[in-house]
Amino acid sequence: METNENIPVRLPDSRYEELKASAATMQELAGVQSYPIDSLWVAQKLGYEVHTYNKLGPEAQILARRYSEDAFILPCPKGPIDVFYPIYYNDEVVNKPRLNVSIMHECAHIFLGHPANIEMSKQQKEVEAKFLAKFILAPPIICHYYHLKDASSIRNFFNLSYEAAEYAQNYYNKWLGHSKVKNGLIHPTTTECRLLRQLNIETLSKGGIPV
Amino acid sequence: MSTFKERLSELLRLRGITQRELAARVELTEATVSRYMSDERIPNATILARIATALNTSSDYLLGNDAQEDFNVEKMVTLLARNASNLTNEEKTALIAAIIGNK
Repeated sequence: METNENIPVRLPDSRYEELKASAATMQELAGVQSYPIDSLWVAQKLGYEVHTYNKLGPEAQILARRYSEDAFILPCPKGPIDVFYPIYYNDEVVNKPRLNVSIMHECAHIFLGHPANIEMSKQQKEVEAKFLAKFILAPPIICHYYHLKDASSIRNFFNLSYEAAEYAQNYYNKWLGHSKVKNGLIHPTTTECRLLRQLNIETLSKGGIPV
Repeated sequence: MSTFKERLSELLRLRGITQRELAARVELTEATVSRYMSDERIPNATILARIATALNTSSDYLLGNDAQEDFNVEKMVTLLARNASNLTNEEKTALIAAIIGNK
């Protein structure tokens, strides 16, 4: 399908719900039980191959840094059946929280099957991976549960970059405006219950989380 | 040429992955995976790509196309997920060649 790659994609609401559920599945499969989430650890738990730029040859290192300052995936065929989807990342990046987001972004691409999907536009793949990565690293329900309401506390708790923390705070505010509130309690969605359960937080018995 | 269900079955065996594990990884029910393995139904492109990626293979291979030899540098360039404009297609080709050749 021809797409104008410069126009931001707004996915259907139902797709965002699917991506949130995918974040919960990733968290469960990797066995994440606390924050901040170490994306490299998640990649390894999910069985993804990871390599650092500095293990590449000199020419490849130069091009890799120009291609992406932080990380990328390169589908590699190895025989008649095998295609591997290794993540390459730049371990010399000074801004580690940003690198953590970038590595999770690449994990999201693999988890969502993007490298093998020739029908989805690259633009949609980017929107999906960006959303999933930022959602899993700082879910609004977790922000709320731990009373993280400003960018600074969100950044510290989830070990995010300034940019990612601001995104998370804005997203949290939007989420708060759309949450179902009854009798002063926020009722988590099924996906949010899954995220909370990973942290051994049971909210249903209490009827919800106070606003 | 083998069919989708044969290739899926073969890959699960080769990778030592159960239907249940695959279902969890691609967020399908076990019954859906089971249906893929017992009849000629082929999943849509998005699910197919997720299965392919989870099983470390390509969508083409799962569809019965023995075309891994076509999986050349040009195709790898098209599969690079990032829509980066900071490298030209020639430079992306050089990057892939340099990684594969470890230059």
